[in-house]
Amino acid sequence: MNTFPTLLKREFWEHKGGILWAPAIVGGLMLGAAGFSAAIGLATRDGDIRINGEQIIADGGLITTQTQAEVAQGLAFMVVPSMAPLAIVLALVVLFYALGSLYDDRRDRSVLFWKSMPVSNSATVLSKLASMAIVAPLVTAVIGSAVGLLVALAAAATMSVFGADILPKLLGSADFYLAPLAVLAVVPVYALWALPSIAWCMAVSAWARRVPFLWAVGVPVVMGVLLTWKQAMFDRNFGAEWFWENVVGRLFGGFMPGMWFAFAGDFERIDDIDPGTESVLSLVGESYATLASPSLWVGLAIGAALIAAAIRLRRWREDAA
Amino acid sequence: MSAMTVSARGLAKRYGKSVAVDRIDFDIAPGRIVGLIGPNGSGKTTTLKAMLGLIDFEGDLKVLGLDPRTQRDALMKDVCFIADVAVLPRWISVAQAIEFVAGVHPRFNREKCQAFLAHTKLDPKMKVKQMSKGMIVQLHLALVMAIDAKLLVLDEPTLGLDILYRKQFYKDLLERYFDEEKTIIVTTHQVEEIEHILTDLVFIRDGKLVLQATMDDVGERFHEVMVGSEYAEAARALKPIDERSVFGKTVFLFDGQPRERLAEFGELRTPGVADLFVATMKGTYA
Repeated sequence: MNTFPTLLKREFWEHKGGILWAPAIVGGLMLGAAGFSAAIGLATRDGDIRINGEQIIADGGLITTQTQAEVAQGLAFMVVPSMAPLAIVLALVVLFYALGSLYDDRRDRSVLFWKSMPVSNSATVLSKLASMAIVAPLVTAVIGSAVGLLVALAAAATMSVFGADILPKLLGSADFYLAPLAVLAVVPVYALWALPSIAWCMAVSAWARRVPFLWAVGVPVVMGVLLTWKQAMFDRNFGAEWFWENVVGRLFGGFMPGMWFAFAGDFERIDDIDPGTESVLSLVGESYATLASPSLWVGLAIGAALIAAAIRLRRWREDAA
Repeated sequence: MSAMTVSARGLAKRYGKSVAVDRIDFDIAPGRIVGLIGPNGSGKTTTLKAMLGLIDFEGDLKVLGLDPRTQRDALMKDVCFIADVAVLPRWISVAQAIEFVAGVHPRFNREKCQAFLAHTKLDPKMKVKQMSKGMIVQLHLALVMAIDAKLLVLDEPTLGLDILYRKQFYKDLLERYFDEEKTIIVTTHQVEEIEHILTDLVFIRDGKLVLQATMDDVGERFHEVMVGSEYAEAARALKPIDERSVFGKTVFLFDGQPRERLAEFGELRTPGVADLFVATMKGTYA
């Protein structure tokens, strides 16, 4: 008897494809692409390597030691943002996971099996929420860190072969070791910002008798279009821009890791971070700073209400087309 | 009399304007095997769903002393149900299903489950989507039989199975699961196959109970007589509830006529549940 861990295990079994295989395969492709570029570089040996548009190595020529240190630091730092493809995968996986979470088992009637067990509806709903908001991003973070480190190593090793001695400097950089920790450290930030988005899709998933995707996406989008249209018709401000940005944008942007910088309104501060000189920990610090944004807490309150609604709906809804 | 396993007073369920269950009263004592029999759309499944806390309802209903609407989580520790075939999730494997139930159910006995599965062709790695309907039911039954529950609810558990699986299902249920402490409620259309295991019979029609009797009562109350044409009119005068012709004679089905009187017409038999059902439900779809 170990109800909640068992429920989490259950979620992982059912969604192994999305939680584990999707990021593992994309990560594998990223590694393959990095290895391929390194091999091309080594084979031709006369290319120049550019990072952020700056020439680092030209015709195998050395760059200054100072720059080399910055390049090494930059490589270590880039472990985090280089996970962008995996972040997109995570966003899509969680979106569709949430839309099906309380609908699919009603459609195939397996809900009758789950409901024949002494498990409360709250435990069921919360286990699904935890699986999406914490387990899935954690797995992505672990895979992403491994991929990021390997890509950085491959890049550094290639440059070292060219004579720019980056590899030891990379291995000597604290950021290289901090990057995985930084990625893991922002998982709670992701969970908090993604919660309203996940909660909305779960509530729709628990409510819809058919096609939860259309309801969850269609309703906010149609409302936005109507507002925009009304605004154009009457030439007055009905808050369409606000709606698109704070409701539609927030609802679906919330699935994407890193979007919290946009939601908290300080994208500029992130642009100012210089990967060559600043520690990767500054990304963590800035991420946690977004938790002070009132927008987050309004979203969390709405998210909590939607989760409560999903639990209630789970109680009595049973049939689905 | 010990506490009833199920006790309903004025149980009713409406879907919009249509009435699925119309203020019914019944009691089910522990240690009984009750057949809940009715035509399609008669309210069988709705009644079961109400007992399992799957739907809201009106009236008073206690299952093992608990209200299924508000105490479902506690109730499900003592109640198991198999609703229809093939409600096991398609992605789950035998091993995962066992691990899941072991993880959430306090009364689940893993060894018992595995011992039962050893008699089947199921192996732990097999997934539900690779199984035939019969195998899915075997897995479900293995999971349920390993749970020491007080009430087992079976809603058309053998629908779509071949006769070998159906027979085996009820055999296993009776030999390996049932005892005096347990209660089983079963609905099915294959009445003939379960009548020998039932202790109680409940007929439901248009949301109302039309018959509620123990099998012993049924034997006392209902009689079937094969009557030659010379006595046909006399027999008809006693208001049989059904009659049919067989080989130039007529078989009459009587409700509540004394044995001695009927014996004058010919040999008495206790009618099969299926014949009783057909007689009781006459005109349902008319």
